[in-house]
Amino acid sequence: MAVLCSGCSGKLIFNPASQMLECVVCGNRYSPEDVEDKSAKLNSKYYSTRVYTCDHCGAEVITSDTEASTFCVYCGNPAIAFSRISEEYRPDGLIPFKITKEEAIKCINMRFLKNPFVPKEVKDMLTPDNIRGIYIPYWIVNANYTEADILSGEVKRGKMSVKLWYSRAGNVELNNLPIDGSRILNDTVSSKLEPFYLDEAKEFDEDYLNGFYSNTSDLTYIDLKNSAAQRCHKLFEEDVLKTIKARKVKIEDSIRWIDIMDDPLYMMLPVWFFTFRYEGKPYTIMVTGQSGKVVGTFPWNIKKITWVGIVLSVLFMALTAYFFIGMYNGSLGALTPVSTYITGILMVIGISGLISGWAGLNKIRVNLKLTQEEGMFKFVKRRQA
Amino acid sequence: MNIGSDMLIPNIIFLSIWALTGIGMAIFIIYKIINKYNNFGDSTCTIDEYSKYGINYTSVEDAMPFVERSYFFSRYGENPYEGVTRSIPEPLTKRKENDAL
Repeated sequence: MAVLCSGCSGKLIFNPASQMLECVVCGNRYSPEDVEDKSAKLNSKYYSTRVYTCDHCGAEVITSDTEASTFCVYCGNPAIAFSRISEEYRPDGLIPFKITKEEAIKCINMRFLKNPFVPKEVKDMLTPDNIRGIYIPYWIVNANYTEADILSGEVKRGKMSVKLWYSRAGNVELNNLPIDGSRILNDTVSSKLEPFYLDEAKEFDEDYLNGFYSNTSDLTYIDLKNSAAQRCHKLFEEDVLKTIKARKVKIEDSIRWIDIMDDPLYMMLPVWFFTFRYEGKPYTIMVTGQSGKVVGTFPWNIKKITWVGIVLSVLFMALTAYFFIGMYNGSLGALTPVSTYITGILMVIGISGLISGWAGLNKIRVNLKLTQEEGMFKFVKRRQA
Repeated sequence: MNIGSDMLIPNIIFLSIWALTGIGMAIFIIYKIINKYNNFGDSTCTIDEYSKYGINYTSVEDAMPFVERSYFFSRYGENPYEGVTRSIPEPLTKRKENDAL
């Protein structure tokens, strides 16, 4: 529970800029290590927290009593209510917030808000009130991992394309691999938050949580093993695919084993959440509280894109028309050899632009879906392994 | 301008290409602008971030005969960690919730 200022009994909040606890009333500063929480049980395995539950997505958000929750940090819904005081397992350590809320806003601004297609109402929502710092539970594991894969790929033989088979088997020792310990957070998204620099980690002290939300691990050992195996597989696969010189390489069949070493570390890692709603859909942009890395994609103003698209199309059509009229020798059907040649080039440029632009936009749309609540925070993570 | 019936199809093709060129270029420019500010997948950690020595490959076979596939898993299909027992941290045994109130 919250500790109070020894001078004025005001609440103490952890300030990432100074790395100190600061009194909200008199501004006195204290080092988290020096402040003693009298309500905390000495050497206890647990610490006390306030639990809020979101009626919309069912997520549980934990705060110290210096922070009252007004909306769900996961789905942005205001239907969040104080649920209970709970005793949670004390993590082994945590990385304190280093990036302040204002710096997190700057990071988001720099990354996205110059995009002319970001809706104005979304830009207006990027205020300190809509950003929340949350400590995400992670398990830091050391593991041995073995995988055997059958792969296929296509290579050119003369003018023909031939399908070939490949095999790869190997093992790898992984150290300090972070696996998020929350079922709420999508694994694909949480892996994008990496890397976290564990050399800046501190021994867990609940005073660091003052002014922030937190979540606790809700995984079982099997969940952790499956998540770790899935993460290792992704890393293994990336490396394996690089060793094969063929096109359309993919794993056809695979077998995997993992051995998680004893004593994985239970850690709290800092992330800023910017949660907002646009056209009825929730979006969450994350900024790591340690390095300022931004993860997420902003929605687009479709109307604006359509208008810009129409204007650009008309502009290009007018330009090509102007060009062709100059090349004509009198009648619409009678093109000169030069203009026929240019027609071919323009056709290739136009069609390739259409194909690559459309494919690229679809790829970004997939990313956008991950930013939306349904993709980003599935209350029950789909652990494929 | 000679837009006779004999030139109708070439003219339609020409106009379609003209329109597609314009639309294609517009879509490509919009994609380039949006992609500049698309952040997902900007950077992900590779295996080198977490492994000092990387993957120790025990089998690397290219252009493997199709029939060999079934033998591959019989050679590499045994769990190397079978029988290894590990201690499970308490928070992972069961979600602990001691409600104080």
